[in-house]
Amino acid sequence: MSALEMIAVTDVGIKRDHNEDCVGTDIQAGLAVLADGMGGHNAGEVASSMAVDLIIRLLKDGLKRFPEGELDEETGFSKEAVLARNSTVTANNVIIETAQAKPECAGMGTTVVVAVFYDDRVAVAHVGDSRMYLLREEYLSHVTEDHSLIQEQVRRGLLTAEDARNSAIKNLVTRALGVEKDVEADVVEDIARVGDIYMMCSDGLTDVVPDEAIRLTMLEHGNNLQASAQALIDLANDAGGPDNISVIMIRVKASVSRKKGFFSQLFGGK
Amino acid sequence: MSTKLILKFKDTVISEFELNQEETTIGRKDENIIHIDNLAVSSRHARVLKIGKKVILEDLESTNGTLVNGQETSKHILKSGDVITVGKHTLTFVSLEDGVEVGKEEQAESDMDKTMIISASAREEMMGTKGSSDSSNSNAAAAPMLLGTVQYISGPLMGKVVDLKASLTNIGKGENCKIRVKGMLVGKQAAVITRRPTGYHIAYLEGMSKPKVNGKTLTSAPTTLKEGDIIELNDTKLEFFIRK
Repeated sequence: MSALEMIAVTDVGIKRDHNEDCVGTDIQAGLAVLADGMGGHNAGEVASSMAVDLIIRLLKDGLKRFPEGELDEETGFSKEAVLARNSTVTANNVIIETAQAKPECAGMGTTVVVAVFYDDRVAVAHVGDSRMYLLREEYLSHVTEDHSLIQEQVRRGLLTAEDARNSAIKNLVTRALGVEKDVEADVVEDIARVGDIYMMCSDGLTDVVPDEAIRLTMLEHGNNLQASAQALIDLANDAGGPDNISVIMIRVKASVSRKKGFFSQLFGGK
Repeated sequence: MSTKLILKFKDTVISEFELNQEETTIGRKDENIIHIDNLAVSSRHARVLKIGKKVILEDLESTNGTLVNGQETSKHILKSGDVITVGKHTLTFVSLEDGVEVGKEEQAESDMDKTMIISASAREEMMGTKGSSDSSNSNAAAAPMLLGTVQYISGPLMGKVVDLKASLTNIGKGENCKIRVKGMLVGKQAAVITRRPTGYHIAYLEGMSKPKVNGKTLTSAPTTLKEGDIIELNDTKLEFFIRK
């Protein structure tokens, strides 16, 4: 999809000796997936890469089965959004089965955040504390809300956002793939406008870099996504790099559509 | 690690400020954390950001500028002993580090940085909801999404209720808008209401005429909708409700 530009970067950080994060994109299909694995030995990597590979495959396959931007009457969401959620649930079941079949994979899990761009919109499904942000004009906003103990406490007014940042238990996620059979993936849709920059990341960035620093960094680098993503990773590493850090950036360059051919994209045909 | 700024005027110490917040603002107006009432200081002059272990000074395009050790700067990573000049006042940056203590903390921190999944029962205990009458709420992880509606409270459609069941509800003069608003300056897609697991948000999208919520003009950054909020665009007024 030439209407989009995508950059994915993953970094082991400073304190860890291996990278359990995984990122994947398919620009033609308008897809981006980021996962932050957890679990002993190398099981975290297995879980995160399974999630990314499987979800991208399920999405690419599923998107061929219905016309773009159709509404799913039952949920009020687009079919793309429902597919993103279902693919996430399927990945959960496959990860659980694998963990049960292979002793070395027991106890593995992963967060995931999935984006599908279509028809000037974006559908996002997520589980856990990997996030998506949107930079539109000079404003940075959260597209997803973490499934973490801290975030739940903030939502119920038990903690302030400031307390949350300083909390020692911000790494406790309440939902992840690979843990329980009936995982609930949150789904959000939004309008994707020309000029928008979407940023997906693992908590290796957001635990140590505040939103305002993310916003200023993204504004400073503007359309240079590669430099922007690298600058964010450098910020996290400068702050100690306690965890793996992954960043996917997606810039909307032109009106997004799967239907449009190369020429109509090029000449801006509607 | 403790960091502070010592405010001086002509070598006389006026006060000390612990930098225990993410952002510490410096300026002439009362609302600044470090408030310096002097005309040489801009209303929002500069700020100090704590990012991990770094402390960064940033000039906020002040009229008379911000100096660090005599050099004009727009952004500077502070080192202990740096002297910041704002108008006729100076702020000395002091960073106190107790080597042994910091080392210990880091060790403890690195174990806690690893992402862990918390079991449902432990979660309930930590949320303080276990066994309480609040049990319906304890399962917030899978709470059903709220259904919101808007009701026209002005114009020919007054009284009409529109359910916000869709993930996106467009407001504007375009044909694809569920809530149509006419007007020269109204954008085809003036605003969008998004339905999220955490509630409803509204954001401005396009057009000269910008929607307002409770009289406040919207921006491109989403605003959370609360029960009873009044959404206004041109001559259309809507009230937002949550279906009970």
